[in-house]
Amino acid sequence: MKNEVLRIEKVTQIIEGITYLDSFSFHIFEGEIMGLLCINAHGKEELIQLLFQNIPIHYGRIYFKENLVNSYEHSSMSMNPVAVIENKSRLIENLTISDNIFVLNKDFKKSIINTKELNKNFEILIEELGIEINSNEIIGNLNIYEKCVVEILKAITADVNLIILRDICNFISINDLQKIHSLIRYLSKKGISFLYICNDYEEAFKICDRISIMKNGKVLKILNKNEYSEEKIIPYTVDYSGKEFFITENKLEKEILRFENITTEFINNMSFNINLQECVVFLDKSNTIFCDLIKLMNREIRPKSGKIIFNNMDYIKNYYKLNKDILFIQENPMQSMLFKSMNYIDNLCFLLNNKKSFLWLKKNIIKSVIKEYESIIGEDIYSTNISNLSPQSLYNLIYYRIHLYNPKVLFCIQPFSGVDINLKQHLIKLINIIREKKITIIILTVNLSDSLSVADRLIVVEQGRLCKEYRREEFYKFN
Amino acid sequence: MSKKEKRNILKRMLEIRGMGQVITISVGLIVLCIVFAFLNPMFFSSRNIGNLLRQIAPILIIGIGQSYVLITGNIDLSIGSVVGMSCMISATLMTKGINPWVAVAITFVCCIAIGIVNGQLVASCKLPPFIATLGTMTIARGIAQIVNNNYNTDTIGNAAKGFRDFFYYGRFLNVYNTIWITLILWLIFNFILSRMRTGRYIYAIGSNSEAARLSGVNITYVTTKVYVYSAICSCVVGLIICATSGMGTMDAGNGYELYAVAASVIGGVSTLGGQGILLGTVIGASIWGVLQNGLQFAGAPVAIRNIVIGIIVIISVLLDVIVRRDKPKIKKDNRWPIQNNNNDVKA
Repeated sequence: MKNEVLRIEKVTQIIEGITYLDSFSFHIFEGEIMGLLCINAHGKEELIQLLFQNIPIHYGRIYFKENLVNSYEHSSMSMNPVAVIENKSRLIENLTISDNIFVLNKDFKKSIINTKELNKNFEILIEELGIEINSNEIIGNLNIYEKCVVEILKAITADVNLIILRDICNFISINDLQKIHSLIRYLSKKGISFLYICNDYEEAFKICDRISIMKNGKVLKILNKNEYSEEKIIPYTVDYSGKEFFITENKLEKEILRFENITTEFINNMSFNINLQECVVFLDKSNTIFCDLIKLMNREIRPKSGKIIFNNMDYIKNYYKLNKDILFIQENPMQSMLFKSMNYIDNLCFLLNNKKSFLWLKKNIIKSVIKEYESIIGEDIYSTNISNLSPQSLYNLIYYRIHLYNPKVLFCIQPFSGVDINLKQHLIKLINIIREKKITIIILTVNLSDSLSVADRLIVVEQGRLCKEYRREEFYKFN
Repeated sequence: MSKKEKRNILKRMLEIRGMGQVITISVGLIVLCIVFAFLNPMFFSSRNIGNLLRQIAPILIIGIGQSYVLITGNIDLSIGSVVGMSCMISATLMTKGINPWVAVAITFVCCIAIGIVNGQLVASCKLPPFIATLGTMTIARGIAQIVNNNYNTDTIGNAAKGFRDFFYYGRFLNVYNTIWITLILWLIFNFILSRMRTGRYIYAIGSNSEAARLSGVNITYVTTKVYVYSAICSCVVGLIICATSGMGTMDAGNGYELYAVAASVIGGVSTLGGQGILLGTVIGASIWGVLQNGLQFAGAPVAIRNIVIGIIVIISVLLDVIVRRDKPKIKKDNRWPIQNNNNDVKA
């Protein structure tokens, strides 16, 4: 009989009148990889917090290894032996791997550090895992995959009951994700339990033993391995494979951007061209080129060789003339691209200032913007405090800001990263609205997620080289 | 050991916590010494070397304290005032006839109290360290003034001869005690920082305090400890000044907090926290001392000395910023900066 590691029984959590977890129930066995597929992110953060610390709940009980740790009657506020591995690293960049794993561990009681002993312990730890990492390496020198492995090793050393992997596909490349999956599988066979949180059911099917489908803080369904199929999952998710999301294609075959044999430290002799009004997805399977690509477009670095041609002009030489026609939407734009202290209209017109000098003095322009966008955006346009707006409204603000500015090319960096299934649908609509404005879109991603639903072309890059290109009609060939 | 292993060790040494900058500034120090020796051959006389070392000692001691604080990502502006407070309390007590060693003990207790207050204000009350220590700086200077009713003390007299010899005039193995005290303090604090768990915790707090907290580090305790270390260092310097002049002066240690920052920063301790080694502070304090001494020898007025030292500090910080900016954060992986996705995007 399998031992139960975690049992959550009908937990209800209400914070400031909002029900985040609603009779939430599930359990995880020893050595099991439990998937948590979030249809929306409502309650996800609260669930992770609750697993991490025994904070007060309104109803229900939580057991770890059959011991009651939290109930509606008593919450001790104590920490549970749970590790969370997510985008935000919990490692100390300036210290070595062994320092992070052993010294920064609650159980490490020795005052004086014996480096040799730590190295020996580390060798024992990784011996059977077949990982090649030097224990004296500084964390800052590791790549994302290695950092993720170190976090898992740290969790194992800390003897945690459960390791939560949160949206790891958002920051780990496809190639590295496969390696992480094999490591997780190996460790689960050794009895370590995982909670694998993601928004993509195809990804969850690959790795999880069971999958809980969560919506609005409630488990709607738990799927066993024999129930893994699209038909079973579609009723709970949003089907946006339908044609209503695709705008009719009427693209011009006129080129807007061309890379000619571009070489940088991480880009290897890359050539491609992007046509006007096209939407191209760049999938970097090894996650190495985007930093250089963005730096190149911002002229923070110059190519070692090759040329960038934008609108039939040398982009590097005419940077100050051309850069106004290129915009970026960063990853997680709600945190990185909005000014919380400004009102909605100031945020919306922010970029316009680059085109019209003394914009804020020209009230008639502002008025005409309000008039034009009020019908699309609605009452939100008059909002003085954007912090009170829903994520959907904030995404409207980000994308309509681009719509208003009307650049020639828009770079979207991981647009679907950390976005729940419902919001993905809205995001696809917004991207299509941008496309209707004849703006060329280049999506940079390490994981396809739903990018293909808006793409005309997919360019696959690996180790800095362009390795394959697919047109829309060939997408099915991409594995 | 094979050549490859040796190369790896050298490479790793260069990568560890600002060792590269320490080597660079060591070269700068050697060049400075050669230049000043060229300008005045007496620069390398044994008498001047002795004086130079005694000049460097107090700056190095407060530099150690400030380095600890800077590595945690904070700053201690109260150092100079605690030096003054230490000097005045010890001198006042000694002039009142209290046994010098009892006076020293009381002085340590008072200074440690300031360190605890600093630590609590920064770590528990979450005050910005600049503001918190600016407050305690004024308080400590006020205590230094009030302790003898706004007067400098009289001479501490012959009864305190042992005290004065111990901290300044005495020699052991023909080396001034001040230098021995500095060396011992440096060895202790260097051991704590490089070999002890506390040292790792200090780096961890400066590098990523949230990650440190989640790893079980008691941020309040460690930060307070660091401010206490800084106060202890300042206290020792106050006692050295008291022993040197044989009296308590209210303005003792004026501006020392800036000397301490200069010694640390020139030595490669990052003002952003998480980086730096005490070997760098030795070189930083030495550069400061050599500049002061060498420019004095060369007949440069005080104003020029201050300007030169100011320029050196700015160049050091600039170098730190340039090195950090040009060094790719993730060497093997050229991934673009990732935002924290803790606040998930909800529809």
